[in-house]
Amino acid sequence: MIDEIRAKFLPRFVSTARQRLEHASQLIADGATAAPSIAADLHTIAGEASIMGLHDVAEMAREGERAVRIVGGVDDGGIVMALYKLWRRLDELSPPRGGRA
Amino acid sequence: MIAVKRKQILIVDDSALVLDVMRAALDAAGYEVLVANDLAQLEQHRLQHRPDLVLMDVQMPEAFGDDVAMVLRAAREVEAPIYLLSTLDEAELRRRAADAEIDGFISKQIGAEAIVQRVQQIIGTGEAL
Repeated sequence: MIDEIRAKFLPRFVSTARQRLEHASQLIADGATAAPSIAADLHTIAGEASIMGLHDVAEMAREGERAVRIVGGVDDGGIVMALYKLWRRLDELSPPRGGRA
Repeated sequence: MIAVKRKQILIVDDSALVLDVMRAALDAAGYEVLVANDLAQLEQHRLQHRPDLVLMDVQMPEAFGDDVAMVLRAAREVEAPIYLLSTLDEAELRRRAADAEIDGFISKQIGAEAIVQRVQQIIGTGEAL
């Protein structure tokens, strides 16, 4: 039963996680001092991934969240790397339409 | 035909996906699930229902779930077990649950299937007496 539920909700999880990553990446690109917002995006991804049983995705998101909270800002390679790893993993779970550049 | 009354679980979380996945998993296990995406919906359910269990996210935009849980228990006199449901570390969840004087916590990190098993340990199967 849980496998059916996971399969049913996986496309929605990937779609919303991508939106949150885009939001977080945009904040970094803008140089915004928005560490709390980025941490919140990553925290939500971690929670949703955990519920879905995607424990590796959840750990990547928690890793990024920890980096944001420790650094207290967004100017850190560890945060960028965490976001990149999440993008890659989401693409493995569900390849983006038309591929990614 | 005899209608079987099911135990009610109220889940409070700002993630619509978490609410929908948990509703599907708990419904499949025989529970009736009420969901609240914000504090207004929580208050509406509190006035209209008497859930057998409340599961409360911690980090929500409007408030911390442990603060809300403390109010539910102390001021609103909700007697049903109240558990925090979060992806925070267990040590922090344990401290927050103790400070709020509620019943405990369930880590989201264990996944939906194991959460359903924890719910069964706490309030038994979905069929109400």
